[in-house]
Amino acid sequence: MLLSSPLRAEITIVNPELRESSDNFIVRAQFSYKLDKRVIGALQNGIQMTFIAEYQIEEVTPLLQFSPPFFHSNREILHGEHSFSLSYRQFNNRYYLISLDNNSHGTYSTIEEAVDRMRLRNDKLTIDKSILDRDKNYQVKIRASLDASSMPGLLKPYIYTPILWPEWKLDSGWHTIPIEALKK
Amino acid sequence: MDKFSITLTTILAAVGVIATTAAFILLAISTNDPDTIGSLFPYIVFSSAVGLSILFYTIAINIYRLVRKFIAGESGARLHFRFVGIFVSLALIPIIIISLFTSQIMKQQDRGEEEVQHLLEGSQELYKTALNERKKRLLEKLYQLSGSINGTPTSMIDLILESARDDSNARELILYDINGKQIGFSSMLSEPTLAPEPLDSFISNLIHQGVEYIKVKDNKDAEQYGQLLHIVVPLHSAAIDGGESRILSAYFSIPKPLVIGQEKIDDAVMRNKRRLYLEDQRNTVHNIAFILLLLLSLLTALWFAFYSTRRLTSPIIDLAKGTQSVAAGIYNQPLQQSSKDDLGFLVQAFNDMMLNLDHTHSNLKQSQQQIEHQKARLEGILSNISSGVIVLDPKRRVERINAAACNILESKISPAPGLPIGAMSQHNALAEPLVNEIRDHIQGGKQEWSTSVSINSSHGVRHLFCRGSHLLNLGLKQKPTHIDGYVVVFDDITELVSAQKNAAWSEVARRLAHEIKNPLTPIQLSADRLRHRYLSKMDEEEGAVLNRATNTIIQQVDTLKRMVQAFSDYARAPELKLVPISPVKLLEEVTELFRAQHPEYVELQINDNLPVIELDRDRMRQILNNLIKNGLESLGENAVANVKISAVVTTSENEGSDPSLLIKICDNGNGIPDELKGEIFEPYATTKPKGTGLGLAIVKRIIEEHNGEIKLTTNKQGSCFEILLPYNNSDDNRDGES
Repeated sequence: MLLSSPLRAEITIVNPELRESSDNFIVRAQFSYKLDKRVIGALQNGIQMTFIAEYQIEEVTPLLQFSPPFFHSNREILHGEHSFSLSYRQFNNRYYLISLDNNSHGTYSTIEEAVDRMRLRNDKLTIDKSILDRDKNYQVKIRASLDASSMPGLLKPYIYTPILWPEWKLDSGWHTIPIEALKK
Repeated sequence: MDKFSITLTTILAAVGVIATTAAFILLAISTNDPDTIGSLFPYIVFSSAVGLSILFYTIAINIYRLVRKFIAGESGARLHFRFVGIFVSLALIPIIIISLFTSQIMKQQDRGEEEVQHLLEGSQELYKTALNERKKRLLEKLYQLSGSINGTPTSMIDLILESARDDSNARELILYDINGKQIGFSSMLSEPTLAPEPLDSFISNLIHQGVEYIKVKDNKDAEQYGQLLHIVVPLHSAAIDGGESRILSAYFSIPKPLVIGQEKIDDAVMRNKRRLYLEDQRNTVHNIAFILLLLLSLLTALWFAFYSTRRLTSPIIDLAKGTQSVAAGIYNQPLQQSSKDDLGFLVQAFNDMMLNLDHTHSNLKQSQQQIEHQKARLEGILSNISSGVIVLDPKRRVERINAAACNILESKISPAPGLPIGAMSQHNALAEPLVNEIRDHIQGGKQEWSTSVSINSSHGVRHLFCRGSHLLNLGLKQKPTHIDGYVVVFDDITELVSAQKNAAWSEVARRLAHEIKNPLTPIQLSADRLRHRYLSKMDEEEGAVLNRATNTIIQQVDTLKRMVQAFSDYARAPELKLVPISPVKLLEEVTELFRAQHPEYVELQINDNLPVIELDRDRMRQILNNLIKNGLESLGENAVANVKISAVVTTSENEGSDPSLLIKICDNGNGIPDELKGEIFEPYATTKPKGTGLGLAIVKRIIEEHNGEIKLTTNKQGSCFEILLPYNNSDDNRDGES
């Protein structure tokens, strides 16, 4: 299932999809990362950056009968995330990409290689159908962002006020996919 | 300012104060604890932006108002401007100094940190150099091995490699043919396999290009062997198997202390880089925070400067405005007392002063009004009294002169105040006798004096009765202290004198007539009887004497009778019988009588359209006869003078005055001697040897009974009588009006 996603900032959600099997729904997405030279500069100066790909399934509950979408009170059913860190070592001039979920890692001689490898990560979220109710509405939300909490305090002002520093706007925002298959 | 504006301003001020305070607090927290700056930064930016916007807006409004007041030149604007300048300078100078020093200190810290980084990077370079030296030695060692390996047959290669590995302290030596196929193997890192792995194609390509391959690799058994140095070199020899080259791959272990040192240095470098980078970011963030703090402090100081200045100058400006009000004569607008400090006390004192001034001003105004009233009253009195009044200052200069004085002295223009009394006679010769008298009496020093003065006016000699007195200044104890001026009061008593004279002469005439007239008839009858009785009895000579004597008696008695009749006429003024008559007809009738006798000597020049006037016909005829007769006789007994009679209607120069009939009777006679000019209209003043001297006196009396005036102008070429008879002669004092 392909959904057009508005491209925002420096992290873009590419090819988000929701596949259905007999027992599960599988949510997959790729994320395109474009890092500004200032962000790369921070990386090359020893700042380790943690990126999180988040998947979330919600039960959509409108407050009123004909409430607009933004006037919903949704309940989170399932939440999954995949984190990986990107770092740099000056001695051998290589970039290190480590998955924080399974500790797999790779080293790359250029930042382009590392970022490309980040895009090729193929994380997924498997949703057991048994936890979903056919009479209710659900939606899947996907987001990739730089984990501000893992950043040094002195860099947080950039991340928390992206309006002042657009180069630090490393957040794709939530991308929503409604689950309609249950209604069929 | 309307309610909405006040509410808006209040809300803005409250929001501004809250936002600015919040910004200050957040900045203080984040400066104290750098870890919080990240999470607090959005709030700092927001509250600062709100606070700065409101402060900027408020200050801009204040500056605009101040400049507008300054340009308009409103009171207190300059003072306000100056105070704002002082306060702003006081606020700016320390802020600028502190900011300059702070930025300088931060720069110095940066330089210190950079030196540490250079040191660390130098250590890293040192490690790299050591590693390169090791690589170089190992390469030389491998090339030395190539001699023994090249000359070794294939079957002996493993043994030679084993020996060479031991000699060179290599962890592994593998020999490949030129195609990368393994032909010899000796290793402490792994066991030989049944299917030996060929050389990595990437490395093989490098070798074929003649490039040596040297790389540091992490070993799986890193704890045992540490990092390994992988070196691959080509071995060239023409003697080997038809001259083919071989490739030797060797693994050497890097000494553990070197690896640990490298890792430590690498960690230290990265940590320091990270620290420097974060320090740099800290500077950026702190600079932003510092700029925000600076701007907030600056604008707050500016706002406080405006606020304090307004608070400080408001009472002063109010005082200035109050002073202007007082200068403009407004005393009933007290200032609002806004504080209880020294300025409040000043405002209270000013209000008290204004109240006192108001009270004093009211009293003064009342007194001034009273003075003005008294002055106007005095002016009115002086203007309306018939007496002439001249007030002189202590230096004998004219201070005031009333209209009556000007009239009496026939001066059309009042002497300007300040004119010395002596100069009055230069402007008006008529006033000279009076001025001389005044000057003499003042010089005499007598406090009060009185005298009579005669002046020669256009109406003849006028008699003035003059009284003078010192004006004394009364001191605090109501005692005269010094002379403050002089006052001279004079009356024209000419009419009074004339009336007294007339009354006296009338009494004399009446008694003369009474006492003389009665015996005249018996005397005349007796003389006549004597002549009739004794004339016939006397001889001719004696009879002639008797006749002559009795005739003389009778003639003289007739003369006496006429004289007595004239006295009687003068003494007894009959009542006027006014009737409307035509002046043309009257004059023509009168002149006709004289024309009959002297047709060539009497000339009448009148307009036929002279309006009718109320006159006593007989008495007017009497005076006209008298004057024309006098004119004809003005050349003496032996000649007849020319008499010209004219009449016109004239109007006085005074506005609103009634028209008058002006009759002129002019002759070309000998004129009136100077000594008689002043008293020609008085009884017994005559130029004729046989005149009674009562004719002109009677003429004047009749004219005056008609409310008219008679004036004589005379010289040696003749005399001219001008009779002015008002058309509106209704006078309550006049008797017999018909």
